[in-house]
Amino acid sequence: MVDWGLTAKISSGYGVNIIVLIILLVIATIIGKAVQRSEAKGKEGEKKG
Amino acid sequence: MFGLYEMAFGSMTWGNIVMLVIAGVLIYLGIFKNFEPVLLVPIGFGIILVNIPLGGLMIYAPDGMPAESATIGQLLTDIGEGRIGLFNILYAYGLKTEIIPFLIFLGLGALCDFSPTIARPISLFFGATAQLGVFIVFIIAYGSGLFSVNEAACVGLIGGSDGPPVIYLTAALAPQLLGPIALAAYSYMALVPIIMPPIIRLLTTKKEREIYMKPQVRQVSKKEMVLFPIVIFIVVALFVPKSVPIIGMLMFGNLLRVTGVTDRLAQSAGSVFIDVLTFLLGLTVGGLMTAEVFLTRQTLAIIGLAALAFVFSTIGGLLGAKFVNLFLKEKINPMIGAAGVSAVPMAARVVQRMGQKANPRNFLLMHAMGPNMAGVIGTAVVTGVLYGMLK
Repeated sequence: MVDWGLTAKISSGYGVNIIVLIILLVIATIIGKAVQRSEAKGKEGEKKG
Repeated sequence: MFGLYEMAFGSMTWGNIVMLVIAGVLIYLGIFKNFEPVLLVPIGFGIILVNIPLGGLMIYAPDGMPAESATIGQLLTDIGEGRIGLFNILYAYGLKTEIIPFLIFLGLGALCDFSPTIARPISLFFGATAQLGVFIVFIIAYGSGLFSVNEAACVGLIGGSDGPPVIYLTAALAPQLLGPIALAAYSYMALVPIIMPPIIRLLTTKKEREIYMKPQVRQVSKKEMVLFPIVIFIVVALFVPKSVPIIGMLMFGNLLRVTGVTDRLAQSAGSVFIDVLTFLLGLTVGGLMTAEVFLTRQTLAIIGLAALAFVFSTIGGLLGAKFVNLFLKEKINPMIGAAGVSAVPMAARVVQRMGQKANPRNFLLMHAMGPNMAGVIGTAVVTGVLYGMLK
């Protein structure tokens, strides 16, 4: 006997997966931008120095 | 003299002969067609080892599962008296405890280069949407009535196109299907160059396939490479705690690779260490495929469903890229989304080849490697989600 309620619950895992990876996407983007900016500033400082 | 001597001929069944033929085909595909040889050759040889009767390498209990000793103290007696075979030990302590797949993730992490994903974080979205096949096939498999809910989840996970997570989940939820599921997962991965192109052609226009992407992906700094595995692990572990063993080992292995000061550890993890585990895994999985266990209606269904899982995952990745294109000024070639099915690096190579065919100026390999590596993360997350719901 197929439990369709359980099937729906487990299938919601697809949504959970997408949400988690979107969060990772946002975090990876923010970290990437922050690191790039800090490294650019570091290089500018070196040039001025 | 012959009265004391027992040969295997008399105990051979038609099932054993069919399994030997299957093993021969796998070894042939591995050696002469280069289809996942690292796995298919040990699996094929493992099948031969357990399908020669009276060899005693793998003994089955009456419930159809590999026999096990009640206690560790009993183990030596059981081996001596032929109640337990050597493959039973590998299965019980290597696969059932999940130690082998768990450690394989460490080696995999040391081999993974996430820089294309870091350079283009949107790849993570395609790695997520390309898990579509996992859930569609789960619904079909469970709805068919042929599989229990746990078994259906393991069959669906083949759509993640990443072998170790499939083995990890199946060893935990449906060990009785480990043989056919592992075989289907690795065989179809080798068939990605055949399965993906028609789906991509069907779902994209010629104009979309021709979309040009600048060849250079931005340079990723060491700081980003070091932060990536740590941050990914912490975030995924907080949202999907059951994925900690998988994503933890994967990201630890990757951290060893990128620190610049643990090269020796990373090299060991990515070479001898993972090789030893891989052939132990291959032999043990092959050792689970005796005729009685393998030649069933479920195995045939798994082979069919695995193909469907790959098809739907390719569709998921493609649709993800098309969706993102709705919001982008500078459009991306939607084919790179299809590489989110993991199957590293085969899926990315397929996209590269199709991209160049559509537009000879295009060099999509590095663009496709981003979603390809993100697919590895996506599959690890999905494995954790399914594990958490069903274990």
